[in-house]
Amino acid sequence: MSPLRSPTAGPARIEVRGLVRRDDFTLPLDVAIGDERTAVIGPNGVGKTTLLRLIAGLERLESGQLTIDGRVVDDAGSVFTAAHQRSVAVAFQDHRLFGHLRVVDNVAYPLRRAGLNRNTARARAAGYLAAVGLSEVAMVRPAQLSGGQRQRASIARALATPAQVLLLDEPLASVDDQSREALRDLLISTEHRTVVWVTHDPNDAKYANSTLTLS
Amino acid sequence: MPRAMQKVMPLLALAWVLPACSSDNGETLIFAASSLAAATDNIDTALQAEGDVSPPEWVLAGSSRLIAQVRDGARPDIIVTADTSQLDEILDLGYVVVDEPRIANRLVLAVADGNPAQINSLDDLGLDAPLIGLCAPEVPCGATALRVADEFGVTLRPDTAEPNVRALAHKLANGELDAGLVYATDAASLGLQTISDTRLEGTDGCANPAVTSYGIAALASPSEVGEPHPATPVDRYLPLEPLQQAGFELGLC
Amino acid sequence: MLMIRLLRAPLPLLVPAMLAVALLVVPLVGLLQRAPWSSLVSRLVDDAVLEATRVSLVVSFSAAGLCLLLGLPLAWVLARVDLPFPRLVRAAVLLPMVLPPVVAGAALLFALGRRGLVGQWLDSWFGVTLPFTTAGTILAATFVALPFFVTTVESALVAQGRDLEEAAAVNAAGPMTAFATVTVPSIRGAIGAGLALSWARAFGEFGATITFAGSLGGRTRTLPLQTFLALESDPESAVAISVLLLAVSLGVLVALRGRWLTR
Repeated sequence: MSPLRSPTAGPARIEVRGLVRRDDFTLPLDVAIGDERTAVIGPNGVGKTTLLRLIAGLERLESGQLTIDGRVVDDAGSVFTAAHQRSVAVAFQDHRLFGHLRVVDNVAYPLRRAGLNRNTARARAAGYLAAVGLSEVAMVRPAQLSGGQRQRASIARALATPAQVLLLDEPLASVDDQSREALRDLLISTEHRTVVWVTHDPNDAKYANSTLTLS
Repeated sequence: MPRAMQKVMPLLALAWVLPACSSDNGETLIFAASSLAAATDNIDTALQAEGDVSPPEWVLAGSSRLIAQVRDGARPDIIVTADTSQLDEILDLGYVVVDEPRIANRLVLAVADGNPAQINSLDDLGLDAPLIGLCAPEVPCGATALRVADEFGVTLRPDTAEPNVRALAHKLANGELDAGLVYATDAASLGLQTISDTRLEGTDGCANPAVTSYGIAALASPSEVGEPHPATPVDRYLPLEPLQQAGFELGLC
Repeated sequence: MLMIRLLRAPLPLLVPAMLAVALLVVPLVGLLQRAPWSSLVSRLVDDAVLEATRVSLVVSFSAAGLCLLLGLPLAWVLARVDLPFPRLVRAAVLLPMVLPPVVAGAALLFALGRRGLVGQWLDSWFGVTLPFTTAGTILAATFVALPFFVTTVESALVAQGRDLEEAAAVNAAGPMTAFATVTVPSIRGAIGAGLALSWARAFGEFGATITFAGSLGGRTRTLPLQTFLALESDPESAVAISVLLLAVSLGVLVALRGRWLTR
């Protein structure tokens, strides 16, 4: 395991300066994220998700440069660190759970990739599932979950990923009102990481150290 | 729906008519053993030049297949099979055996161009190294090959037993096989190099196991009383000269 | 009950559907009613038929295995990599499906035969000759069966999109790990279907085999080749073998579908 991957490596500063091509237009970005909790807000289609995908390594810059923790991971040319080699975890808005795995094994997935054996990974995953209130459905498959449960499982999986940067794309959008507060507390309590949180909800943004508005 | 039907109907009608129409257009229909392929062009050209009868429509296939088709209802005017025995099966279907012309073919030892495996005689067909091809025993050229081996005490170690002699001859022609036993006609039409082996070349006519004679039958004339006789002038559709040019031997049996 | 349910279907759909069923089923019934049932077993417990059955099973399962080994990566590349001239590449991959099998066999011969484009070097450098060997038969069967596997799996990959692979990537799975732990398991139904289809195609393969690999008992003569030969000499046996072919295909397809496609 590379030292980048260690969850104790602490928060990382992210800087994006350059252009990224979207389907229909080119989006200029000039963003520096230094605080532990940054909320990203802005109208639909302004590129919030694209920003997360850039940081995660799922998109490439058209020009410019992207650094994480002072290290260039994308220079729109020869340097490109692939997603799996960046110390980044993502909770996707559309969940993206693995349908062939049980819920607990979905959460254990990043732990298994980090080298834990099956039982240890499952035991730890169970802890994250308990934290998001999904202990009862640990052994079922994602297809049997409700939309809100899937989103919570997706959050648990992102939390379980030992990464310096945690990217959250509308993580509470389809979660019911009762669990929203508890989940928000859970996300905020995340320490030693840089959390980038794309949201529409001004309540989410209130808890951030800083707010980044894209327009 | 109606417009779609208008488009589809002619197609359907066509599909309905096609299988039935093969011999209804006035042409003489001849079912012939695949080996006759070597002569059909020659015959057609000769008939055209003579202008006496127009070239027939040929259907070429393995003899057993042709017999089976006749048993299943096909009614060619003439049928030529690669051995004489199978004709018995269709004599109750309105066919009479025709004696003339008497056509025979002969197995020859053919090799790949340049004889890379240095085959010298029939005996080399028992060697392991060269790639040897025969016809399957189920078809006449394969049965004949077995008879040859049996009679002359030759061991055969084939690497393939092809379902028909054309397939075998083509594999010799393109060099995939080193040697094989094919009909003289196929060797001639594909320009195969042959190796002389006196045992195959005996002038003992039909007695030589390498020689096979063809059986010919024709639909009998329906209106006649007494002895049935062919409704089609068979000898005119199977002129001797083009058959000989193609490598067939005549009058042997 | 079935009648009532069927009659509720719109007629313009029902009639062609029934015609289609008839088209598919009537020939099979024709075959079965011609089968020599009383002598069926004795005709099948025949050395030549048993030998051909063995060759057929070895060849068809090896071909299906090769389809999996080569076709799965190919399907992934087609679905995920931006290739130059994608239509052309895809058409080339599909070509063996529409190519007359005999032409496929001839093409294989020109490429891999002893005098073929690649085959001559195989022969002179390694002493490997593929025609007239079981390996050649497997190759011919794989050639015609591969597109069935690739299209089935590729369309599943395209339908699935990259979402799950991206999720695996941000969970620290490298491309190969993501392929093995996420991509493959999540399309295992399509892989099973592709295997069943390619196996069936390989099992029934005739034209390319006879042209490229020839026909020799115990080495290259598969059941379809045996059927074709029997047709020349003993049509009753040919029908008996066809019934066997039908039974084995049905058995394997049902087993494969049961194993792979239910979930």
